Amino acid sequence: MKRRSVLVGLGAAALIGAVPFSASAAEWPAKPITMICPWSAGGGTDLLLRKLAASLAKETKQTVVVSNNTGGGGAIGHAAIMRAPADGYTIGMITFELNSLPPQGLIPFTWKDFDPIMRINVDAPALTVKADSPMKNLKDFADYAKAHPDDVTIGNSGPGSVWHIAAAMMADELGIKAKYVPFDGAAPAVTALVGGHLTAVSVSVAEVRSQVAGGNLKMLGVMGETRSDLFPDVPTFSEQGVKATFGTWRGIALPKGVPAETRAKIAKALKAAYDDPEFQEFAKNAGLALAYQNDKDFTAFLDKNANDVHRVMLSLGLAKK
Amino acid sequence: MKRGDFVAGAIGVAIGGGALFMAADFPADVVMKIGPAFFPDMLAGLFLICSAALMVSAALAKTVPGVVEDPPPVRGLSLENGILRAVVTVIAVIAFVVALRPVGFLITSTVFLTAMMGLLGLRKPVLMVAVSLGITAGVYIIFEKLLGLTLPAGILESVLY
Amino acid sequence: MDFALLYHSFGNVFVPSVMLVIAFGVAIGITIGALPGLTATMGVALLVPLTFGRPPLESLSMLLGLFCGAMYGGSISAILVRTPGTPAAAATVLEGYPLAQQGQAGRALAMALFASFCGGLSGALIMTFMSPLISSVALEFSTVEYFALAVFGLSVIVSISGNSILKGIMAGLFGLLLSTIGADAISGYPRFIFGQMDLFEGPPFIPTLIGLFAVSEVLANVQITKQIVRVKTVVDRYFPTWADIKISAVTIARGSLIGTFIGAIPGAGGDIAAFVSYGETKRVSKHPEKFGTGAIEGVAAAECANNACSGGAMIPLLSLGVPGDAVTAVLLGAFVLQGLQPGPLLYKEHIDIVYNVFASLIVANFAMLIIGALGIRLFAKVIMVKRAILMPAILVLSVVGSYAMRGDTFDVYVMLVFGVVGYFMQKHDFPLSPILLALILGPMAEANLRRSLVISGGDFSIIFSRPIAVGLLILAVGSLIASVYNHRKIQNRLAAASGLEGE
Repeated sequence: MKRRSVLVGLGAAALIGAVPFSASAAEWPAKPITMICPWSAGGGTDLLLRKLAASLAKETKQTVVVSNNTGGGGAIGHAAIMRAPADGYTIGMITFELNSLPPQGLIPFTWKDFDPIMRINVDAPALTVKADSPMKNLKDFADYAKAHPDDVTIGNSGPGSVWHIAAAMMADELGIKAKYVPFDGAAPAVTALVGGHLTAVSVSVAEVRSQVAGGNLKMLGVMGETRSDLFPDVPTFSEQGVKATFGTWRGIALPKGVPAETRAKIAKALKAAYDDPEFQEFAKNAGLALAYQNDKDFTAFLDKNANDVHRVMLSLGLAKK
Repeated sequence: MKRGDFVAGAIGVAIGGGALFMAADFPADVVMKIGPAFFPDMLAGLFLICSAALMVSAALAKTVPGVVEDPPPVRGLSLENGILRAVVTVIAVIAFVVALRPVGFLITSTVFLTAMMGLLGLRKPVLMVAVSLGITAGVYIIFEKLLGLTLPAGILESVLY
Repeated sequence: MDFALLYHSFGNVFVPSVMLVIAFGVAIGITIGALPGLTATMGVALLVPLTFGRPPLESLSMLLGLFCGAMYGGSISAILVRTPGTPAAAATVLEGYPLAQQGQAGRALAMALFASFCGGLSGALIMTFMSPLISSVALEFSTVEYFALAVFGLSVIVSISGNSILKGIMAGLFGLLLSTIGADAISGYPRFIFGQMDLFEGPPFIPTLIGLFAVSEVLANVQITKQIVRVKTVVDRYFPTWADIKISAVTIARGSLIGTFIGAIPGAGGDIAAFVSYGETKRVSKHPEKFGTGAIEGVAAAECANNACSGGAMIPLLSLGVPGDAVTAVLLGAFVLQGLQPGPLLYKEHIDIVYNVFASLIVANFAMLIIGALGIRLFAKVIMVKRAILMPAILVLSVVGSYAMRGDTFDVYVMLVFGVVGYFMQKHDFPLSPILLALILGPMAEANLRRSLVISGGDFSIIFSRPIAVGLLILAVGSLIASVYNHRKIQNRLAAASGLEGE
């Protein structure tokens, strides 16, 4: 019976406390913050956001709740961020799919409908083949592909996914033809390559990391701007004369309309959370390539990325227009 | 004539036909003959044939004399009417879901549980409310506190956090 | 196999702090497994953050304990309230629930626990002693073999069809059609989504499962007006009787092998293993007519296979760095967070960790047996709860379980729709399990066939170019013919039996 009276008391308190209070910029954060994750609980993006949320909570001394609004290949969550109240208490994590969904006609909005706050990481793909393959670099791969035009299969993580686009960019730059085999995520594609059922995969360095370290697979080149911290011996595409950089990214954005003053406060708090040693260590262990950018740089980055993605998707026949 | 099976078959024919109709608009694959429409076409076709077979066999089946298919149900707007109770249950769940976000899980769940117990014939208010609160609290603790999954706080937001 | 190191690893595990976290993991696992909507995958995923910053042995032991516990826990709600707590327990419903209705919930629970333990232990032992061999076979599986495996799995539909094969096949086709909803796995084209982005990834699986089984049962139950004489349930045992063990011994051995092997194949998990094991057991049984009415071997077949899967799924994870099922995919993340990379490198650099995992999984199975046995009396009490309290409670759990994963009320409506569909199907004698099996295997069959065709450039002969695939397809046809023949036999025997009763 005791528990009941306590809860009844709580209920009564709630009715009194529920009077909405307006929070001005000066006092942000005056109440709990919600962070929207467009991907499901327990996944890589979710874990990253939960760690960042924990650091943000430490920083702001406020409760930070992570809410997973998933579905539609990211469409549902991004829409939820866009439609959230612009009071600074709902912050969203945006991911690469924000730029690949619009060309497919799957969402009626673009990154321009958000206020980007900061970029968190960029993970570059690598062209990876079996370790016992005679190919040693991108040129060998291109030569092989030209000699066997019907045999080259490149596995990726799904139709229209970031690594599908990466594979098409690679083939385009190398001037070869290949069959793109979409799998349900990166892991099964990597498994198929280890089993010798594919010629190559075009997934991220982190996703082939253990197989490369274990001696089953080898990377011919990474598509990042710089070499990967995990494998500093593997040259980039640019170093091999193929001028192309690409990668998936994650970042933080707000719905349009948050006052500039509040936005600055949020950005500052998030940067502090990002710099939290605990968060940094987590990202390092997870093999994520952290790549902070502030709001201005991130905005410019998003603009270029959206154009690149659109162009490649058109050439793949994945874009509607 | 088995009426239930005949109706089920008819619904099956409608679903199969509808799926075939919709799949006709799926784009053809550029490379291969097998595109996004191949599996749905095949499955919908088979489903349609099976459903039609069920309709035919249901129409031909003899009703076994002397076997009453259902016991005479209670009709009318009384809680004794089982069908009505099932319908009310479905409506109650819809109401639960609609209220979930604005009102919050804790209140909605407690009210829903108490109301459903009443619908199912329980008549001890203290027990009903106590058990409802207990179940609600248990679910809340497991989902929110142990697993960190957010349930809507609703109007209790300022109290809970 | 390094026995000295294995012995040493048991020493590492048999310390209070590790034993405690294993027990904690198992207890949480059983709870999560028993609650509809909370699967083993989700449980492990959500507890991974808890392990961050703890020593590797403790973290991994807890997650392995949770994995074991959740695989067993799913059977509790499957038996008691006809709601598979995890998808892997869907096959347990087929015999477990009829047993509970006959007042034999205790017997079914005891068998589920015993079979889970035997399966889990076999899986763990096979993992310990045969990992390299099995993982090399698993790697042979290309898209063609996955397609053949899915077809083989689908052939089980006839075995779980109930009274009418036609209705069973219709249910299966309905499930397969449902599985084509959402973005096409190869072209990305959204099919049958009616403009709903919520359907882009297909009908949400867990809400569909909860709707078909739990909600449909509640809708049937709320209609019962009279307080029927409550089934007297005697729970006087923790272990199955000697007679039950004797009936099920062969089944358990077969199920453990099927489960370990299917678990070891990346991408195929406990749900498929349980159905295949159940189908095989029914097919070779001397009295197949008892299946569906509470055959204890049926419970044993499903439960030992899904628990054997945990050990099986660890095999490719540890030796190849490739997860064997959804849970081990999350476990891969947990390893990585510990700074460990499962795969060949782990064997080279951290062989001690590999052996610790072997030892913990073996110990976790014993912990599951003990904690499960202590809990049986408590679990079985659920069936004594008044219907007026139990039904609303199941509904709340169903709603929350459907809602929580994606935080989307759309999923709850999906659950409700399938609750109503399931109710009517049940009323007109359509079996529900084929829908579930089709939802699991449909995408696997379609995506892998079409992936194979992308690789071959549209040439169908690729399917017949691979011996394992051809073998699986022949098995599928054989199993189909045998099941149809078996069905005839069952119908004849049932007809004979009812004839005798009539006289």
